Amino acid sequence: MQSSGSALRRFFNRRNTSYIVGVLILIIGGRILFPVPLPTIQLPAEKIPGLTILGFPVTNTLIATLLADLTLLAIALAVRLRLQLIPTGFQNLVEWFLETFYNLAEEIAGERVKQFFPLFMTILLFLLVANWWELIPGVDSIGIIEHPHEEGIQSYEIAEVGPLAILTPQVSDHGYILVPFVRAAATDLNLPLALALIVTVYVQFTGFRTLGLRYLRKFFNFSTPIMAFVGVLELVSEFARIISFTFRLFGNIFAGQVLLAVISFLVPFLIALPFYGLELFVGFMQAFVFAILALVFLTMATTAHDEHSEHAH
Amino acid sequence: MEFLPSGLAIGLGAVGPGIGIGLVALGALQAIGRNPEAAGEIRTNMILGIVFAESVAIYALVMALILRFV
Repeated sequence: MQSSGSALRRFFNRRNTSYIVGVLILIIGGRILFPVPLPTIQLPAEKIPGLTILGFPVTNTLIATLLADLTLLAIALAVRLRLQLIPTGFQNLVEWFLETFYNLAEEIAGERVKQFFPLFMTILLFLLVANWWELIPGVDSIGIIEHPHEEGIQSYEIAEVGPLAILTPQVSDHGYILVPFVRAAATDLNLPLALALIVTVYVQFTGFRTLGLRYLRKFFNFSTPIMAFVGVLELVSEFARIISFTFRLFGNIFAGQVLLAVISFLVPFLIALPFYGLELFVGFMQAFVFAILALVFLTMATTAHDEHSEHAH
Repeated sequence: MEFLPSGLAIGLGAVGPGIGIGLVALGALQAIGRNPEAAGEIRTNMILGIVFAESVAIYALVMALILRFV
């Protein structure tokens, strides 16, 4: 009791106490002095006004996708152009990253790892970079200010700051909303759906190529009534996979975006930081889960039904 | 009352995954307690299991967001 009391007293010395009070003042003062408007949360990606490619409107999630692609290209070129036999620095990091996941994929896919690794790693790297782009300051918060196109969307007064304008927290009937230039790529339902379709089609294609018509035996097996029923379940689960792939990724990243927006609306300073850490983790985890699941499905599709017991882990 | 459906969607949808995540963590902790050397591998698989349980809650969240904003 006494020791814990003195430990407490030692912790609350003058310096630590002043830090704590300063942080609290920053948080509470920030809430009062710099109130933040709640960003417009909408499911479909916003179109950038007046920007089209071949007649198709450009959405802000498309820009985020291209940015993620460019980032990956830049990393690949930075490593490729200065390739060394004995890796140092950045090359070392990239090689370690690839090797870790290559070994992991080998554990799951066995001898087919060379065939499946490119798709696995492409999905992993692309989603990782695309998800982490969400956390860069300016994404979701820099954009074009315009009147909302639909009824029922909360809009705000603006304040001019030099040539730029910012939204103020004052709600008004004929106000403005922010259309960000960049919005996390996976918050557009089309990106997870496209990836899920690519994976599903490739899984079926690989299944047929490896097993030939034997692949169909998984779905249409009338040897016993039970196997016939299991075949129907397998067939349904192939389609259910597309939905679960899509919504797992979309839901997690979209929820992350909403979470960060709402937290910085509630408390502008410091409190949002741990949530950025959480989103770093979620972004990696979702990329990893998507890629691992694709790999597992590929491995399952290339394993003949009667070989299951040998290959079971 | 307008927001009741979306509130119910995420509220009820979070019950199952909550229990599930608890069970996953329970199993993993017991396994680590029995066999501390395997902690690293168990932790990786535990996180994978948690992510799968959590994605059910995320489906509920998507439904709640659709009900609220669309």
